[in-house]
Amino acid sequence: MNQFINSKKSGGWQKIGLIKIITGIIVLVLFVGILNLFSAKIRNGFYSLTLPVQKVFLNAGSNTASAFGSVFNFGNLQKENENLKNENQKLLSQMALLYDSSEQTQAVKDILACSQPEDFNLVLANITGFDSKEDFILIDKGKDDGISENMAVVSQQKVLFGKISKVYKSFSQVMLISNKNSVLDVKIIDGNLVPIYGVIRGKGGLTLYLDLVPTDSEINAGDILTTSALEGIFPKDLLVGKIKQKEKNDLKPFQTATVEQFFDIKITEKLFVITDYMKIK
Amino acid sequence: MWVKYIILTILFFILALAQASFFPYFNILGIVPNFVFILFISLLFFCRQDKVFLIFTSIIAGFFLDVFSNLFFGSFIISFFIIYIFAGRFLKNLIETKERFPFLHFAFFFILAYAFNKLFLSIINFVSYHQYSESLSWIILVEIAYNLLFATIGFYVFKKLQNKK
Repeated sequence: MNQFINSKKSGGWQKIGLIKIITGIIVLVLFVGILNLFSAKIRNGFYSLTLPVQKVFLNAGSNTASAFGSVFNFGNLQKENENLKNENQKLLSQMALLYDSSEQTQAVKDILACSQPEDFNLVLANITGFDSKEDFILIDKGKDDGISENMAVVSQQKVLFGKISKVYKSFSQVMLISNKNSVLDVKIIDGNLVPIYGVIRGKGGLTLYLDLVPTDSEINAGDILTTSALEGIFPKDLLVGKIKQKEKNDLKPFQTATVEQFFDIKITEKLFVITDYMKIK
Repeated sequence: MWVKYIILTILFFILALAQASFFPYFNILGIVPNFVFILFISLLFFCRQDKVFLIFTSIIAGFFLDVFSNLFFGSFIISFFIIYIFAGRFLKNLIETKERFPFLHFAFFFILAYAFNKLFLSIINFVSYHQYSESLSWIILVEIAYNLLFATIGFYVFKKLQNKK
């Protein structure tokens, strides 16, 4: 009899436990649903509220990181300087080649014309947040400043950072080109100035790789990669990176390469959003 | 009584802010330690008796991570809530030792919770945006080890506080 009562009791408790869990799940789902209805407003409000503190944290992080960096990389500075000098000379010789032929001069004109700031309507923005794991940054310009999704984000030196992925009232999220879901068409400028086309894919963790380069195309370490504008989001000739090491596999129909990106979040504070490229197209 | 709730909220807020703006500059392979998660797991482990406090902790820690993430809003809240629900049962079933809060239990619990959180967020990300946030690679192991390193520091701080009590 007692056993029967106990089993009846335990069954009752089980039922109550189950009801509690189901109620908990329903409350949680409702709570998350309501949060999602206002998610854009919550995030925007939160970013606006914490902007001054975030700026302090960002500056502190950037300064501390560069201070540590200069201490740890002191030995490499000379080597880096030498590499930069060599690269500079290489670029100068390439420029001289460009000016030589009339056809190539036209290309120079195109590049120069493209890089004129008045060609694009640019909106200056400050970086206010940085997610190095997922490769996103947050900027302090949003819908109110005429920003919309898929607009290109570049630096003052025309280095491509990424595209706008989410827009809030006064903030926007930028998906860096190193994000795992980022793909863009690029042009590889080798020593002979003959463009080869390929695709840059994000690897995450602020790294990139070059993909889909035809096996018969000759690519070398140090070749510069610029946007080709084939995908219609980024204007052409924005700087992307340079080839670090090529990986040729005879079994694969395409070549790949590791790429050293030109964008550097650690030393960048201000960025530009190109707001009217799509209109030009 | 309510003071600890306010302190906890401020603590999570500062950690989430620092995680979004200060610590990314010190990443290793793009990995930044998740201090909000570390604090959340430490609280689950050390304050397992206080249910209301832990429910509040799961919601507030999840909320701050959701605000600064690019995922579906509420992903972290749900994930942390599930971890909270299973934490009680899981910690009860661990083999009892003479020590009150053994490190091995904490490390095992931390790794499992971290792996679950990662898997859960990847699924949510894929279902809601059809995007891959993570792929299985050795970097995940580095990420767990890196986070566990800071969690270990947190563990000994909490243990010292518990011993003082």
